[in-house]
Order: sequence, then structure tokens, then C-alpha cells
Amino acid sequence: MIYNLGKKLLSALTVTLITSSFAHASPEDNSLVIAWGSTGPIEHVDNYVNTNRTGIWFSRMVWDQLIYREPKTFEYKPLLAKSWKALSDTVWQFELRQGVKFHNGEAFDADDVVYTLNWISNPKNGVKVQRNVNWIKEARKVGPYTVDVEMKRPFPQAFEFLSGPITIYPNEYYAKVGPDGMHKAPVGTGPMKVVSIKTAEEYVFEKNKGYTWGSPKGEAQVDKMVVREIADVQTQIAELLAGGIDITADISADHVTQIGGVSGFTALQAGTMRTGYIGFDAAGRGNHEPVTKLKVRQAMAHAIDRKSLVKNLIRGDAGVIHTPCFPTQFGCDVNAAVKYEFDQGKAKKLLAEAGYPNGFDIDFYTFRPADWAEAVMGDLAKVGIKAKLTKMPYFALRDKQRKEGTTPMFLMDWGSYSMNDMSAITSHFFKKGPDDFALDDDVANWLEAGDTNSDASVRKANYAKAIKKITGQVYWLPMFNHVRNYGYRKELKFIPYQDEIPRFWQYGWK
Amino acid sequence: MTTIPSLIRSQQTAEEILEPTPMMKLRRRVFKNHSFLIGALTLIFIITIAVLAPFIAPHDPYDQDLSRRLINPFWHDKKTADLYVFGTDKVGRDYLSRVIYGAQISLLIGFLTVLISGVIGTALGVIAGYFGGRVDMVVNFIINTRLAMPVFLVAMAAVVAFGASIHVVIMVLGLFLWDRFAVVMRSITMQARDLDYVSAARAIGCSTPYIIIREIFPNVLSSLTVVATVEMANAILLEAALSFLGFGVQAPTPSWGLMLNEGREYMFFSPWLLALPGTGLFLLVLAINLFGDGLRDVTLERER
Amino acid sequence: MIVYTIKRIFVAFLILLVVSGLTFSLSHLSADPALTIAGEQASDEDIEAVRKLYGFDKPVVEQYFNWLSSALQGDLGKSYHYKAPVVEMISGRIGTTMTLGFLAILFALVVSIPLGTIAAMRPNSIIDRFALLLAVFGQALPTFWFALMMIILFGVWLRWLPISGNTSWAHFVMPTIALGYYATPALMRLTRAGMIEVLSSDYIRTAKAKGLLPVSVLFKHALRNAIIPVVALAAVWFGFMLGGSIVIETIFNLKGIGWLSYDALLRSDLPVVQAIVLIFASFYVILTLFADLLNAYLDPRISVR
Repeated sequence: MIYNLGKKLLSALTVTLITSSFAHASPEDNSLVIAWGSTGPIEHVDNYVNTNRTGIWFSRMVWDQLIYREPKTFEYKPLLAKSWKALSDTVWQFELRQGVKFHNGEAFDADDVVYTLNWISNPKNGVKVQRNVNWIKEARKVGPYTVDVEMKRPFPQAFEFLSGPITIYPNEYYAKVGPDGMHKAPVGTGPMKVVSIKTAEEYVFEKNKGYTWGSPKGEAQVDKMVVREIADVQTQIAELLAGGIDITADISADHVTQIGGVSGFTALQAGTMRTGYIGFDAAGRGNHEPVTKLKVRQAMAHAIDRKSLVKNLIRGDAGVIHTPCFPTQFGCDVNAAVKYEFDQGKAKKLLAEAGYPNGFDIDFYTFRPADWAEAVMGDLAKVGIKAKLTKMPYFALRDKQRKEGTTPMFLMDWGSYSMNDMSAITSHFFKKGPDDFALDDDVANWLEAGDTNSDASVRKANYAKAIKKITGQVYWLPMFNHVRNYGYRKELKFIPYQDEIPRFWQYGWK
Repeated sequence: MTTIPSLIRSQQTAEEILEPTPMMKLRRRVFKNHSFLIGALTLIFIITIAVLAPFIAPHDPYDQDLSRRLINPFWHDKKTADLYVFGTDKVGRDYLSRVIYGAQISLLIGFLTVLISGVIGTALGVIAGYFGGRVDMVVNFIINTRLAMPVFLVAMAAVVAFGASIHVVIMVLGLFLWDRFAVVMRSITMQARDLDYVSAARAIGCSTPYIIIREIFPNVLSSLTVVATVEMANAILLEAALSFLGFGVQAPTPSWGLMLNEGREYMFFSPWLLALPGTGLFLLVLAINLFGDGLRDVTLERER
Repeated sequence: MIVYTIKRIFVAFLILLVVSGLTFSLSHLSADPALTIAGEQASDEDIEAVRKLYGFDKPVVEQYFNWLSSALQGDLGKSYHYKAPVVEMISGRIGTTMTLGFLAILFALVVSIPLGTIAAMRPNSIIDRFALLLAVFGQALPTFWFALMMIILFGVWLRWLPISGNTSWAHFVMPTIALGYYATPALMRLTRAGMIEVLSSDYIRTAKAKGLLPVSVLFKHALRNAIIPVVALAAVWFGFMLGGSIVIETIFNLKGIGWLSYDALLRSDLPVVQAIVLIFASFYVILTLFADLLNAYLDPRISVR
């Protein structure tokens, strides 16, 4: 082992030293260099082995889904499936598109769909995010381009998954190489082909010239693309200003003003459906007495100036959110929510009524930029509540919550896996799972009813009840939707989307 | 990270540690014999600022107001000069006041870290030196084990494990930076053990703790102070680096390292947010180093 | 001597054992690895399954001995996050860190030996004083701060040097200086002291008297003798540089093991953290072992003690 390590070490050393030239892309050769880092390195590019969040931009470039979700209107449109119809409560039939080819030349047909769906739905194959696939019972080939998909139960959110995390793999290739082979040399039908992958460093793509069958995703706009993993935002900005990269998506709202002011660069902000909230340990999991009292939570809701926070720190087209979900999501009825206006006088009164006229001390947790939390703490201090901030890495914080539950108050957020359905956020947090700090039976039951009924109006009615109770009890104080900030070279043609999914292949030069 | 390489340290004896290092001889040549004076004056100046912070600072360092965030300092914006000399930070706190209070935090971390590490190191060193033999061997092993641990990495891991806060940072650094104390105390105790008055004390039946506290300690106090300055500079730089990576002191504490971390966001467009706490850190560490060098001179001369 | 060697090797192993045990217990306090492995969208059942599969339900002591026995066989486990064997991940990245550490020490030598030599020949000259001033001030300069200043100046304003990555020589220039400058004062001082001593020695004076050119005396005799301790000290600094690489690699986006340890800590990827601590510790232990053995060889009294 030592010998091997030494040999590898030596070769690594020489390779690093010999490889040279740092020519960066320029519009002339129609190539593009993108810096990416906010979600961290993709641990494994196989879409079913990673957590989806890290691999999402990659998977959209290389693979296609059966269904396309229009990013602006959230309508479902044909992608690899030409059309579909419901055969029963639990069976959908898909007509597939013909003439589509995978990057390795393999033709796309019903076998690929059947193979992929059956492979991922088999728990033995260990798809990482089981909730994405565990609703599939079976896929059956009906004709060369016709597939029936049977669900285990009526599953209203099925299309969100079929248009999102479920991408179609080439059956022959995947059967041969498996997940690790897919990681080394990914093959899909998508608009870009993989040239090379260096985990956690860079991914090189070229245009899929055969992507001309009228996909609603559109053809790639550049011939060559390099996506570099740069974790540090300041390093990204330095590279952007120095011409090493063409676009970054990880900057702050202040950077937008600053970079936008530099000639040759443009910066913009675009709202996303990622919803920020302050969670309270209303159920008393961590034994912090004040937050278990409704009046205290209401007082805090009144004490925090969310408008000022949004206007000064988040900016862009972000807005204050009053629902424990994002308003475009199915079921997320804004009118059902109890709203709390900024009123510190009222907050003080409520605190006094709750028995804390002089406020109290509380631990406050976040994994996001400290200035957001600091703004909240400043407001709370003015009504006498002294919050002590602990900023932790995401996983460490989530672990603390699940294992110990000792987080009386936390500023966090949720991206709903980019799914436009309330079940992806509210049901995750309020169905008495490990992340639930309300532990409210009513809410859990309503959400369960909303999640499993196939009648849209029944779903909506149940979800509305849940929203009303969650906001009325201030289990969460919904804060604002997050904004994604982009800085890029002026000549770049760039389109942002609300669902937080970057679609790099659509970026091109003017 | 910004420590004297542990490898060198492990090989060192107390004489070598107390002997001026190449770095110190060098500093001395630069500042001639003024090093002690310059260092002491700067240090007194910074300590005064830290102690008098509530009276000097024009604003409450925690008082924030989003509507007045990121005001430029006086050399960019004459209008606000009287109110916010160094401008404000990203949640609208007065930057000058934060820089002033930052001295408190750095000094506090430096002092408390040295206090903890000093107690641990001294205890181990004295025990090893006084008893010798197997005890000495065990202590030596502990020292070597400590030296083998990569301080910065393990400190980061500890912060992840126990949560980041000023207490955790002080505890972790205190538990790490004691090796030099131990080495020095061990060797000095060994020498002192055989001195006449210690033998005399033992002969008249004084207890071991009594001998250590009453007879040995007064003799080594100056050496301890010298080691303390070195470790203090070390601790301050380590805290800054930890906070800079987000593994240190928590917001809104006005730690210089944390301010560097926050100001970094503006490094290309408002570089003073980086430059001001950076300068504070630089001056403090320089002052402590110079003071330590000077003190060592005085100490060595007196002992000779 | 042989007994002494065996004893020292035994102690070295014991140190590594204690270090790894401490790190293991420390890192297992920090997070529930099962959650990290299962990912952020995992259900409770998924997490429980992972816990069983990896043996996290067993006592920490038992887990440690399992880890230790496979570590002794060269298997440092699998990364929770990347799913790849830790040995593979580290061997793929250690090259960058070693290159950086090597270049940094080279930089320190290249700067400090000439400066030290000049200083020895012309003490108190302007060059001498300027270099010393720079060094004294540099010693109080936080490394990360210095690195950022270089990025602003040479990367963004002047655009002379690439800022991030490791694809060419040029990419290593700024990280090398940032990491290496801290070692220069000590090395410079040692060179200067050594040179002064050697220059005043008899054989140099003899050489001069024999009419040899000053330059050839300087290079052939004086420098060669003065440089040995400098190189020895530099080797020691090398081990220390590995630790300093955490901040530098993070800032310059060099994906070596310094960066890897930072990334792993953020993700609670314990096997990786564990392995890197062990590697850094091993470097220290091996280097001190050699130093001690060398000392013992040169001075036999030590091994008798």
C-alpha cells in the first residue's frame, strides 16, 4: 500500500508540474467557463447515486426526463414522452418520442424507459433518494415506443418526479457499466455530452450535435463548456474580474451592485422558490420554555422587520413570505395564512402577557450568512429578547436538530427539491418526522390527506387547514424567498429561473 | 499554521526556547534595543484601547440598523465623517467601534488561552521535572503526542464537534498550546530541584507542593512570561485564522478574525473592511513579539 | 543502538495510536455520520438502515478498533460523501499539496540563502536592513490576509497570475509565496549566522591567502558549509507547511489534501478527516524519528541513556 501510494504520489506530482497553459475561454471559440460551488462538489455524477441537489445542474445537461416542466409556468410538456394518458388511478401510459439517440449512439426506445424505471424502483439497487422513486411499482413495455407505469398508490405528485429527478438512462450501457461506469463516462440523451470529469475540480462538456429532435429544452448554445468547482465566492469573483471564468451564481446581493458597476460585466438577481423561515421549538423538544408559548412566538413574529431585511439584505425580486411553502406551489394558499405585521409595541405587549416583560435569552442557529441572522437578532434585541447566534455547517446543524433537538430557534430554508408542490416542503417538516418541531397531530393528518388524495380540491382544502394552523400557531415564521445572484460577462446571454435549476446549456454569447 | 514549526519545538530544550530565536535576534537588529520599548508602548496602547473601549468607542459595536449599512469611511465620504469615521459594516454597525472592541476580543482570547495552556503546561512540566524518571517519561510522551497532532486541523474538528463559540475556541487553543510551557518548566524545575535553598526546604520537611509553589515558582516567573508572549501571539493568529474560515468566534462578536471573514466579501470594492481589522491584528501581534523579545533580554541579563 | 531504534519506533507507533484514538473519538462526537451518508432527503428508516450497515450502532470503542484493524491493512475506509476509498482520494490529491509544500520551501530557500549571504558579507547594508525589516513585519502578517492581498494585486488588478486551480506552473506562484514567506526569516537568519561563522574560519582565510577569487571562495567553500543546517531546517519546515496548506488551498482553490480536509469537515465526512490527521501526524512522527536516530548516530551517548 505504501509503495502504491508513493507511486501514485509521484505520478500526481509530475502530472501537476507538467500540465501547463491556462488559456481561458473567450467568446471567439464559442466556449464558456462557469464557476460553480454553492452546492459543493458532486460526490458522484450518477443521478441516482448523488443527493440530486449537488448533481442537479449536471443531470439536466446530460440526461432528459420523460416530461418537461415549463420553468416559468410550471406546465407539463412532452420531452422524451410524446404524450400520456391515465389508464386508471394508478397507471399512466406514455407514448415515447422516436428518433432520439443517446450520446453513445444507442437508440432511445421503450426498453430504456422500462429498464431505468424498474432498476431505480428496485430498493436493492440502492437509489440514494428513495422518495424520488419508491412510489413506482412497475414499468411495462407495451409497444416499441409505448410504456405503462404503475404506481403503488394514487400519487398526485408523480409528474413532479418524472419531470425532475427521474432521468432516463441507456439500458444496454447502464446494464454493462453500472453506476461507477456512469460516473466515469456518463451517457445520456441531453443537450451536452461529457468530455471529461475531474471530481471536485472541473467538468468539460461539448455540444450534443444530435440534439435536434425538437426538445423543449433547446439546443446547447456553445460548442464547449467547462464547469469549474470553486467553493470560495471571493475566489470566484476574482476569477470573473480577471477573466478566468465567464459567470458565477454564488455571489451576494452586495456583489451584484459592485460587479454590475464594473464595465464589461453585468449582474442580476433572480428570485427562487427556496423559502426561508425561522423555526421554533414549539413542541419543547429542547426544553426551552419561552418558545413553547404561543404568545412568545407571536411576539417574535411581530418583532422581526422582515420587510426591511428583504429590502436591505436580500433585495432583487424577493418578497416577504407568509406561508410555510412557496406561493406558486400546488396547495400553497396565501389567503389561508395568518399574517404578522411588524409592530414592536404589540410584540412587547405579547411578551408581557406571556410573562416575559423583560424578554429572555435564547440560542439561535443558522447555516446561512450571519448577517441575515444578525438582522433578526437586532430586531429581537429591541424588544428585550437576547438571541445568541451559532452558525454551523448545514449537516452539523441538521444533525444537532435531529439527534438532540436542542435548537429553540433557527433560521433555515428549504428548496423543495425544485418541486412545485407543497408536499415537498410543508409535508416534509410537519408530518412528525425528525425535522418536525411542532409535532401537531391535526397538521400532520391534514397534510397526509393532502399528499395522498388524487382529487385536487380535496388536497387544496386539507393543505389550507394545515397552513392556517401552522401560521396561526407560529410553528414557523416564514421569512422570504431566496434570491440567486448572478455576475457575468456583459456579452453573455443568460436566463435565470425561479426553480433554482441552472440550465447551463442555454447560456450563450450574444 | 502560523506557529513555529512543531518539529523544531520538539527538539528544543528550555535553554533554546528561552535563548533568543533567529527571528528575535533579527527583530532586535531591526529595532536595536528599542524593541522592548516599542513593543511595550504599542501593547499598552492597545490594552488601553481595549479596556477603555466603552468610553472611547463612539457607538455601541452591536447596535445595528439596516438602513445605514455599508457607509463609506471618511476618506470616501466626507458627509458621514463625524458620525462614522470608518464607515459601517454590512448590518450598519459602526466599524470604528467594532475595530476598537476587536482589541478586547483578541486580547481576551490571547490571555485566557495562555492562562489555560500555561496552567496545563506548567503543571505537566513541574511534575515531570520534579519527579523525573517514569513520570518524566510519561509527560514526554504526552508532549510528543500533542506535537504530532496538526493543531489547526484538530482545532477545526473540535469546533465542529462542540459548536463554534468564543469559549470553545479558547478551550481548544488552551488545550493545544501548552507544549512550550511544559518543556520550559520541566527543565527549569529540574535545575531548581538541586539548588541549595530547595534542598534546604526539603530537608526541613516542607511538603512538595509547598516547595514547588513557594520556592520554585518565583524563580521561573519571568521565563514563564516570555513563553506566554510567544503563545499569546500564536493564539491570536490561530483564532483569526479559525474565525476567518468560519470555524471560530460567532457573529456578532467583533473579533478581528471574524471581521476579516465578513469584510472579505467586500475585498475588491471596499478593501478597508479587510484592511482595518487586518492592521489591528498585525500591530497587536507585532507588539507582543517585540515585547516578548525585549522581556527576554531583560530576563537573561538579570539572570546572568 | 538497535535497542534504541526499536524503542523509538515503538514510541512512534504509540503516538500515532493515541493521536488516531483521540481524533476518532473527537470526530465521532461531532456528527451522526449516518445522516451525512444518507443525504439530506433521507427518511428516518433510510438513516437507520445506514446506521446498521456501517456499524454506527456499535460502541465507539468497538468502531475504533474496527477502523484501526483495517487501517493497519492499508484501508482507511470509504468517504461518506464521495463514496470513494479514502486512500484513493488522498493519493489523488496529495500530489498537489506536496507540490505546494515543496515549492513553498524552495521559494523560502531561494529567497533566504542569497539574502542571508549578502547580509553576512555586508552586514548593515541597505539591502540587509530592508530585507530584515520586511521579514520582521512579515512575521506578524496573517498568512490568509497576505494571500488575499496578492490576489487583489497580481490576480485582479495586474492580471499577471492565474488565481485558482492547479493546471499550470503559474497557478502555483501565489500560493507558493503565501505559504513560503513565513519560513524565510528563520532560514535567512540561519544562513547569515552560518556564513559569518564559516567566513571567519581558518580554512577560508587560508584559501583567501592562497589568492583564490572571493567569488569562488564564497561558493565553493563557505556557502557549501553554511548551507547544510539550513537545508535541515527547511526539511523540518516542510512538515509544517502541510498544515498551513489548509487555508492557502482553500483560498486559491487548489484541490489538495488541505482543501480536502476543510471540505470534509464541512460535510462531517469523518473517514477523510481521520485519515488526513493521521497523515499529518505520521509526517511529524517519521521526521522526528529520523532526526532522533540521526542524533543518536552522531552522538552515541543519547542511545545509552
